Order: sequence, then C-alpha cells, then structure tokens
Amino acid sequence: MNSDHRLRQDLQRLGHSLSPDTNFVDRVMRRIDRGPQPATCRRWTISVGVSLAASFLLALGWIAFPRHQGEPDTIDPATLVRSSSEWQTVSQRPITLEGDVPAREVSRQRFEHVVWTDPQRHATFERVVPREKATLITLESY
Amino acid sequence: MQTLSDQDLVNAVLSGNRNAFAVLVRRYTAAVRAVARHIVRNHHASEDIAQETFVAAYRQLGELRVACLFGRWILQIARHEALRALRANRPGVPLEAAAGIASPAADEADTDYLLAEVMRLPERERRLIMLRYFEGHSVEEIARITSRPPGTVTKQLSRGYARLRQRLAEVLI
Repeated sequence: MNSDHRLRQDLQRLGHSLSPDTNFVDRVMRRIDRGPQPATCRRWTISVGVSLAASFLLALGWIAFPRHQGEPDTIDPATLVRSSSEWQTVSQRPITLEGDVPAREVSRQRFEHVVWTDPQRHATFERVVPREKATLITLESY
Repeated sequence: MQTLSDQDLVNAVLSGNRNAFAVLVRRYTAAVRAVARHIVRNHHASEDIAQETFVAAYRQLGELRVACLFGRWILQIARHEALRALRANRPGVPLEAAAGIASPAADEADTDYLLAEVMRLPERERRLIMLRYFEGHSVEEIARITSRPPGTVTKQLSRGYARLRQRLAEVLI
C-alpha cells in the first residue's frame, strides 16, 4: 500500500480517536452550566452609551429660551463660551485588516458646546455638536 | 449553526446563546485533546485537561480580544492547563508522563508517536494537518480559513506528509 495513503489513513484514525463524543460535550456543558457566565464588555458599553445619551438630552434640556427663526443671531463676543467634553469610548469591536491582521476598532465621541447671548433678543443660545472618531489598533496575534 | 464562523459563535455565546459554545466544543475538541495528550502523554489525563480547557475558556471568553482568533487562543489555554497538570503531578498523570515517557499500551504508543511527530512539525504545516485531520475541514475550507489558495494548501499539506513520513521512518530504524 502506498506509504502516503497509509499515513493519511493513520492521521484519519488519529483524528477520529481525538474527536469528541456526545458524552464529552454534555459533560463540558453541564460543568459550564454550574459555573459563572462569561463576563462581557457589552454591559459597560451599553452603560456608557446610555450615559452619553442621557448627557446629550440633559444638555438639550438646558436650552430654556425660545429660538427665533429667520433673523441671524447677533453674538455678544463677551458671552461666547466654548467647551467640550472628554473623548468617551462608545464602542469597540474586533476586525481583521488586509493581510489577516487582527485589530480593534475603537469609536470615541465627545460633545462640543458653544453658548452665547444675543443682546438684541435677550436670549441665550447653545449649540451642541457631537464629534466622533474611529481608531484602529493592531493587536499582537498569539 | 455548524457553518458559522468562530467569531459569530463567540459573539453568540457572549450574547447568552449557550448552544453556540457546544458547537465550539465539538469543533476544537480534537485539537485540544491533541495538545493535552502530547504534553501529558496519557489518554485519561488529557480528557480531564480538555474539559478544564473548555470550562476555563468559557469563563474567560469575555477577555478574548479578537474573536476570530478563538482557535489559537483555546490551544494556548490547553497548553497552559496541560503544563499546569504536569507541574502539579495530579493523580491520573503518571510519573512516566511527567518524565516525558509514553504510556506502555501498544496502540496508544503508536498513536502517541504519530501525535508527537505531528506536534513537532513546523507551525504552518502542523496547523494545516490539525485543521485537516483533527478538525475535519476540507482543503477548500482550510484555504478559506487560512486565506491561502487551495493549491498552496495542498502543496503545504504534501510537505507536511513528506516530513512526517521521514520522521516516522527515522523512529522505526
């Protein structure tokens, strides 16, 4: 018998001897049922997302004065205030780049606030602009 | 669910789908057992180690940074568990195994020799042999998994066979 053919048969027998039977899979599943569930990063991602959304809504609710349509705003430079929140990570996911390179895509978001007063209308305005950026981080493969 | 990728299955498990993990167990048991058995050289001990490996992997699954690398990750866990068992010299891991001597049963000895030679292959050839014979993938599936043309996979498998034949012939001399 061709030695190459015999080697493949031996490899197949070896593979079969190592393959799982139903009992093995059942034993593993029973053990994991008795133990703790895997911790995930999804819960904190959802929490961060909810917090960001709540912050955004609170910022919108801060605008207590009515807006006037049509006429351009007159900005009192003395009242112009710009600020921005810290970059917050809103999501991250594993991806594969060209050439089978594992990487992580991290999406970050922050809010830029601009507040000013229109002296003619005696009104205060606020503009909130969300900014988002995605960063790719290559990872060491095992 | 059997045709889903490792990445999809890992994400399903993390979303609470327990059955997805059973698919991963079936998919990787042969490779995990191969690694464990190569280190501890004992069939029964390698069974326990394989179980411990999957239980540990399930609990740490949230820490896996790149889901599509589950295969390599779980074999690392298997190696770690097997070495831990050797160091602890647990009951069921005989001292001969701790000293690196194969168990005496004839059939097991033949299997251990072949397994030992497979595990000694260069990493690329070993991975292809394991994908083909321990995980049961066809050449086309292996080509897709490794992102290489089927012709290249066939050529590298042939190289692996030639190396195995040569080494097994040396063992018999």
